[in-house]
Amino acid sequence: MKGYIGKVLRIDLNNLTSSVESLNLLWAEKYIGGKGLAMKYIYEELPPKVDPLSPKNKMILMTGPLTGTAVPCSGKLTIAAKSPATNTILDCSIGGHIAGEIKYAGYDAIIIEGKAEKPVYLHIENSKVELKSAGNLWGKGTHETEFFLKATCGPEVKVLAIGPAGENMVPMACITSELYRQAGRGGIGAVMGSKNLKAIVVKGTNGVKVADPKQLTARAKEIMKKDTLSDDNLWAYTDGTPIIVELSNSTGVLPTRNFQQGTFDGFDKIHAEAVKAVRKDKKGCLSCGLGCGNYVNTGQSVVEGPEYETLSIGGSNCGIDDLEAIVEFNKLCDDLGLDTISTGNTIAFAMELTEKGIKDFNLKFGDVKGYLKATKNIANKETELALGVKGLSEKYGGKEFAMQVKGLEFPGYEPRGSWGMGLAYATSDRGACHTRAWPIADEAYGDMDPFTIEGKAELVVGLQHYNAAKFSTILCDFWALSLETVAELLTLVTGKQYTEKDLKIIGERIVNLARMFNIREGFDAKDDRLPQRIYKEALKTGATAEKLLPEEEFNKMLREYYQIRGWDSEGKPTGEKLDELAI
Amino acid sequence: MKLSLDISRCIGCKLCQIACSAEKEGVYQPTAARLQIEKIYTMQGLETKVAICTQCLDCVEVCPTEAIKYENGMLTYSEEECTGCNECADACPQGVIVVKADTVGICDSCGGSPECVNWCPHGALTFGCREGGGVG
Amino acid sequence: MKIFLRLCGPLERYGGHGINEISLQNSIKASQLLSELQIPSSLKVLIVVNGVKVTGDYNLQAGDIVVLFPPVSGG
Repeated sequence: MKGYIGKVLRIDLNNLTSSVESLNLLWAEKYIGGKGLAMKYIYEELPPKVDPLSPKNKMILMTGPLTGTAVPCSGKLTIAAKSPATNTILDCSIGGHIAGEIKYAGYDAIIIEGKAEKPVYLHIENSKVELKSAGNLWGKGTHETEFFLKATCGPEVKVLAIGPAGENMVPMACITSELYRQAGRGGIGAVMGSKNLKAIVVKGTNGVKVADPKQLTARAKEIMKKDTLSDDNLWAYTDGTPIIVELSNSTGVLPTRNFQQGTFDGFDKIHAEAVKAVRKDKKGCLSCGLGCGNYVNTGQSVVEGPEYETLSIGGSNCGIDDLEAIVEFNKLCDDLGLDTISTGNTIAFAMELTEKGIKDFNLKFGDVKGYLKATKNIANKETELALGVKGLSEKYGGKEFAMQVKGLEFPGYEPRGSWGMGLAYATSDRGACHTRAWPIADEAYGDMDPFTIEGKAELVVGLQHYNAAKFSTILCDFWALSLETVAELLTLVTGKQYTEKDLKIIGERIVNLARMFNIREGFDAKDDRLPQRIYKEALKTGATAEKLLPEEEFNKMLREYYQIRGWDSEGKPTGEKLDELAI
Repeated sequence: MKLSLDISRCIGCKLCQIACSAEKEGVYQPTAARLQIEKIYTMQGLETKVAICTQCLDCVEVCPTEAIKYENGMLTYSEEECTGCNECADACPQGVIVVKADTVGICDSCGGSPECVNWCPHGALTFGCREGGGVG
Repeated sequence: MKIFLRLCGPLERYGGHGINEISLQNSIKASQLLSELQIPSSLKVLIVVNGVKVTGDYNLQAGDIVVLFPPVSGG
């Protein structure tokens, strides 16, 4: 198949060696690349019940057949491992230019295994692969690390790096690239830290060949102009994700004060217009005409961001309406190597524990100083907040308002104001996640009634298949395109005929494979649950006043979901389903 | 007639380079493009590094075989006449002449409708007689 | 009667930036406002009036603050 390089670079950190092997093309046919193919490698190569922070865990960097080509919005990289935050399978997605660079260097994937005795960084320049000492970089932030590596290896290299949070194996540690782009969730940075791998530096100068370059180039150009750069997608360019702040506030789904409310009085101080007022420039990922990145400078602090997730979870959810403080929080998280979603949630949870007198963390909603200090302390593991929401709730209580699923903290969407979103959180392969399915676009932000379970199971199943397929090609989730178009592009790239139906089947196969991994790790239906607050505590303000998601309704929706999926009542795929999907 | 880049409209997506390499080399390879534009973070902040053909004509000047010519406001290149001496690439102050096995790749403005410009999603790259040209 | 209109993101192209005062001859439905602005009916626009989401059938009242959002995807 064209579009693939056909090569995998394997790094053995135990022995500080590397080798090149063929990409498993049989798996590529069934799982494409990106999320799906990385998960297949993880599933096959990890023994069950591996400690995620042990040398036996592996980290897989996977590109897709579309990576590096002229297909718009194809600049993302999957990074997968077993998650130290959740013990589930974990795949993260990171933008910038690193994915293309890996492919131009001559690899579809990089598999990292073992653990280096001392801190190292991996330096790849096409076929030249070296592991070098990172002793001088250990303890440094991701920004200083990237600047140092660019000064050492050349300004054109692309870098993936962890900060102190990853080194300290904090379960909300992320991996950073180009200062402000993250593989954010599930503690992927902690996995990298556990391997004593500080950074990965890549320079690639080769090309990517596809089956029909003439036709692909022509079609990609046409699709970009007519489809990508249309009113359906241009919000990403004009505003970026901050546009969602006001949308969420208007529909009562803006997480506020640890999900105690769905509206925030100070929303207009942190919404898109406020961000645009301090925006200095725009930046996009490789091949993306949408360029969602807002480069802002508040005079005090500089960041590419803040994204909606940070404005909501690190803003309203902590009771913070000071944009300058949120920008500083964002920059701190990026530099220290922390996921803003999990960090913001943990601080918000500690604020509520303090407010309720359960445990005094000396943190108050709206307290900017305390919030910024807590962020630094989490990265340095100098506070129990580094346990994350689940860990804290197990130690001190407050489980009913510990906003997490399977150990992963909630993103910025209130499930009581979009019931399908609750199902999406409960059934996502890596815990509470908004990128496996985003039904809120059809519910609170769309035409469907948000306060019913009617049609939601089917909606979530469909979206999970759609996203799994899209994230495996790899395309960015901000581009709303049809699977028919994805299939057309994939066919021109690979030379293998793909249809919309094929992609739906592949999407379903990926969802089921991830489920099988999690079942192997001991997860079942009882883990597909939301915290009690969602079931029992009604919201008080705005469009979601008096609303909750009753537990019996949730359970009904979950049962229907299992049924549609062909899973048994324990949430396990049946033998027939696995046969049907050829897993 | 030459290329110009309006930095304030550039998002650093590199579609220009991808399009250039596809058009000229039939492969997607940004380093094989006849222009290089990158948005990059430095200690000073977000900067745009630009290398595009400014039609300074140094390449025309140094070419020993007249393989590179300047005609009707554009560069032309004849592979038959090129000896692969690479003197043009050495002379190019922008570093946008691509060195290949026995030949070179010159920005010939795609004959008047440059693919980099056609692809540029937000009109940052333009082609024409705009006064001054170059980067702004 | 007068209403106030704000268009978000790419919708600005149908009526400009910021809050604009609009004079209407008589009360119309929100969906009619969209067609008067020449926003394509195929575009899924979210209509918020006075901070609350409404459908296209909503009858606009004098003094209403209307905010229109484009469809978003991905989160």
